[in-house]
Formats: sequence, C-alpha cells, structure tokens
Amino acid sequence: MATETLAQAGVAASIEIVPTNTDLVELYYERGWHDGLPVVPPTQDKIDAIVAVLGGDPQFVECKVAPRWGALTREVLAINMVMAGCRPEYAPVVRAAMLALTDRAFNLNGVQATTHVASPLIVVNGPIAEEIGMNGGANAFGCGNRANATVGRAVRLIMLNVGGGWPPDFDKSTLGHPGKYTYCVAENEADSPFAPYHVEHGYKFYDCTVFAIAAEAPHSVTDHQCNDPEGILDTMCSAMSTIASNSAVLGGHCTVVLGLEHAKTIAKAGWTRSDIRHYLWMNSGNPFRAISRDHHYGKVYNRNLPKWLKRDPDSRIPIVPSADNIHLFIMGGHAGRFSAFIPGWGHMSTPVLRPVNPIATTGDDGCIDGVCAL
Amino acid sequence: MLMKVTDSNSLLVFDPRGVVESADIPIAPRPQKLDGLRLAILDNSKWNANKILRTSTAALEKSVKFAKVNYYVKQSFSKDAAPELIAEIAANNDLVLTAIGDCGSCCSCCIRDVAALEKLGVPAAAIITTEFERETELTRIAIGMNGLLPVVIDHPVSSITQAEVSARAAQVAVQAPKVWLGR
Repeated sequence: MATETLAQAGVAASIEIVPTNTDLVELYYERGWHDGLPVVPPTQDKIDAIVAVLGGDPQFVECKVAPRWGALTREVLAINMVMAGCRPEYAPVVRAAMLALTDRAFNLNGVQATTHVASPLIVVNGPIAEEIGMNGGANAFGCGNRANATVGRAVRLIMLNVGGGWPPDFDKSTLGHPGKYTYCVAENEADSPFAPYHVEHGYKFYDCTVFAIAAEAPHSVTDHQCNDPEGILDTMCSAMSTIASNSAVLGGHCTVVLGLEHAKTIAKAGWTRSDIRHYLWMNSGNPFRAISRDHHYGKVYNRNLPKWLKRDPDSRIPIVPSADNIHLFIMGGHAGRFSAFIPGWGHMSTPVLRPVNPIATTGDDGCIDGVCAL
Repeated sequence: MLMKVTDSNSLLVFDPRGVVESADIPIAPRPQKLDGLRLAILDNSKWNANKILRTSTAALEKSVKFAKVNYYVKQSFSKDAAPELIAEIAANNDLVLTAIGDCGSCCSCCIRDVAALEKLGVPAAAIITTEFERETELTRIAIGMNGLLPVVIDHPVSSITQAEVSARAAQVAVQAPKVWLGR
C-alpha cells in the first residue's frame, strides 16, 4: 500500500469515475484508503460543505503530513473528514488538530514511525466542544459520541492517507493501541471544579483550543477509599511510578485525567491545579537503582535522562522533568471514583496546545493559575 | 484539482492521499579512496548505538587509514539531528557513519540525517537493522533521494552481547566502504 501511495508523487489529487453499481465501501477498501473500518464514501456536496467551513479555496495547503509529507489541502482534509463520518462543523477542530500534529515540536515523523504504542491524543477545550456535541463526561474515552469518534478518526485517516503511516511499513508500532482508531475527547468543563486546561495555560475561557500529545492508552486509577487530596493523589502516583512506561525511562510529558469525584474531593480541600501537578511530580518516580537496574545491563539508561538528575542509587528520578510536563484534565461522569494516567512517548515529542480559531491568543489578565476565571 | 461530474450513470471516487512534491535529489559525489579522509561518527544515543559504532570504527580502521575520527552524539534518537549539528559535521568531515536505526522512529531519523548530510556533499552511511529495510526504502522515496543506500545489520541491537556486537560490526566494516565509495 505504502509504495502505491508514494508512487503518486507529483500527480494532483484526483477523482475517478466508476459505474453506479460499484460498491464504494469495498472499493475504498481495495484501494487501501481506510483504517480497518468501513469509510463513508465522499460526495462532492459533502466535500464542498466542509471546504466552505474551512474558508473555501480547496487547494489551500494547510500543512504537510509526515512521514510521507503529503500535502493536506482543504479539499483533501474534507475528503478524509467525510470518510471518517464527520459533520462539516467539526472541520475547525480537525484542522487545528492537524496543525498541532504538524508543528515541528510534535515530531509527527517520529510518532508515526515509532515501535512504541503511542498515538496522538487530542483534547478539545472551549465552547466549540459543546457546540459540536463532544463528550467529556461519562465514558469520555469510550464509544457513543459522533464528534469524539469521527474527529479522532479523521485525524487518523489523514495520518494514514496523507501521512502514509501505514502499518507495518511506515508505522512500525510493535503493538499499537485502540486509540489508533480514534483518540479525541473534550474536558468536562461544565462539571469540573477547576478552571479548564486551556485557561490554566493562558487562554480565555471563551477561547477554543486543541491539545495534542503522543500518548499511550488510558490506565485506570481506582481509589474508593481516600477522602483527601493526598490519598487520592498518592494512588495516582502509584500508577505513574511503574518503570514500564516510556515516561519513566524517557521523560517527556504525560497526561493525568481526574474523574469528577476525585477532582471534587481534591478541590473541596482547597487545592489548585498547580497544587495537584506539583504534588504528583514530587511524589511519583523511581529510585535511580530501579531505572538503571543497578547497572546490571550496563549504563545505557543514563543517556536518556536529563543531565541535571543525580545518579546516586537512591536518587529519585521523576516521571517527567517538571510539574509543567504533567498535563491535567478533568473528565468523566458524575459517578465513580476513577481517574486515569496516560503515559507519553518520551522526550522525543513535545505536546502542542493551539487555538482552534487562530485569532485567539494567550494573554495576561492577571490570572495566575486559572482559578480566578471561575 | 477535482472536477464535478453530473452523469447519473456514474459515481465519483475521491483520492484521499494528497500530493507529494519531491524532487529527485542526488546523493553526494563519491571519493575514489577512503584513506586520508576524516570520518564523523554520529551516535543517535539509542541503546547500544555507541557500542556498535565504536566497535565498527575499530573494525573499519583495520583496513582504512582515516585522517581523523570525530565523534558526535545527537540529542534524541527519535528526532532528526539539529541542523546546526548537521552543518558542523558536514563542515569538518569527509564521511559519516551513523547508528542505530533499530526502531521505527530511529531508523526514519537516521535516514533523514544521512539525506541531510548527502545534500551537503558528504557521503553518509546509516546503520539500520534488517527489520527496517522496508521503512528505509519508503523513507528515501518520500525524501526523493533514491540513491541513498543503508548499511544493514542483523536485528536486534538493543539487548545483544559484546560478541554479537562484534559480529554486527563486521557487517558494517564490509558494507560501509561500499556505501561511501558508491561501489
């Protein structure tokens, strides 16, 4: 498949005319233009509707997608969105997600090619999440919501079709994970006791943003006993502190998702987002002797840890280099004392937060950690 | 450019792949001989890359008298080398050997690094493992540098013994001169 994809270099995006009795779903399978699931065959009208939402000019190149470096025109973006099952109003979110993924800092080339399981996780903040009907509540990472499912799927189809990230040729993931079909959620801003993620990072609550991070699948964090911040967060620290994740041995960034019950217990004690992130950073990690296996197999792990970390056997090696590298979101339904830890890929990729509407900018309104925006 | 077709007896199939614009980029001119040339070793910091490279260099030096061997380490095995590092290597060396492309992102970035060096006129050999030959082929096509040839050693690398490192270095010592000389 990949060779065929690359072989069209220099040829303009094209259409083909086939008889009306053609099974288009099967034809898209035959061409290799799918993610394993049946696609919605694009029509000119549906493509035009999406291109109009994107601002017209169908041949405008939004970005180029690694590792194939195919040009993502608005027209091609629309074709993939229709195939994914998107409605036209999702288009600004899909575009913003692709612009985040193709930011140099994200290193999409590496994320696509890696043998690790990583897949881009997209989190949407701001009013657009509700406007297009996204789910940050019950079963946020699960099935049942069209916007979550199809925005994430459109991103993956673009990574496959335009980026050429076809397994097992360009996508060399040993195992992959289910988020490689679709991995897009919204923060549950309406029910969260804290300011939203994007407000913590300097945007206004009425701004809309997408956050993209190379991520493993969510790991459930259960705690039905503790009724204080320290207890709940110690449980999270336990989940964070395995030496089996890329985060533990390669640093970088990670994502923490607090369920509503846990978040409300913590907020009730007066803790802020900053308190949570710093507590997690201070109390997670592993002793160097665990990371290094006491040098039983040589000193190879040394090279991938920050130089400023002590290498004494009992030195604590934090999961990520800074509390700012812990990305905190509040999600989920009202019932259940469950949260989630989502390890990252490592220092090789930097997450990207960017506005859905490019006019939105971060600004200093005197709000230090976002709480005042409530 | 898409076109609208209104024939009621036909359906349209839309290609979702987008255009790849890549020129046919030549590799660097090849030297006539290797003796007297300056060799850059670019360690991608992956596990065992340094062992493979140091052992390979020793194996190569049995038959080639390099004027100098300069050792460089890049920041991340899964990222392209920084442009300033590529420029520094190209400015101070005549040949490059880099490793190790034994994972998806490592292999891709090794190939992209040697392509960047070849563009600057320096013959460069990337060591990849057998599991990543296909990815290497696709990567060089995507870059547009079809003449790029890798040094292919047995997979795996990250957890092998010193004896296995030596066996793979012997493979490098045979193949790398062919890549640099183009024959």
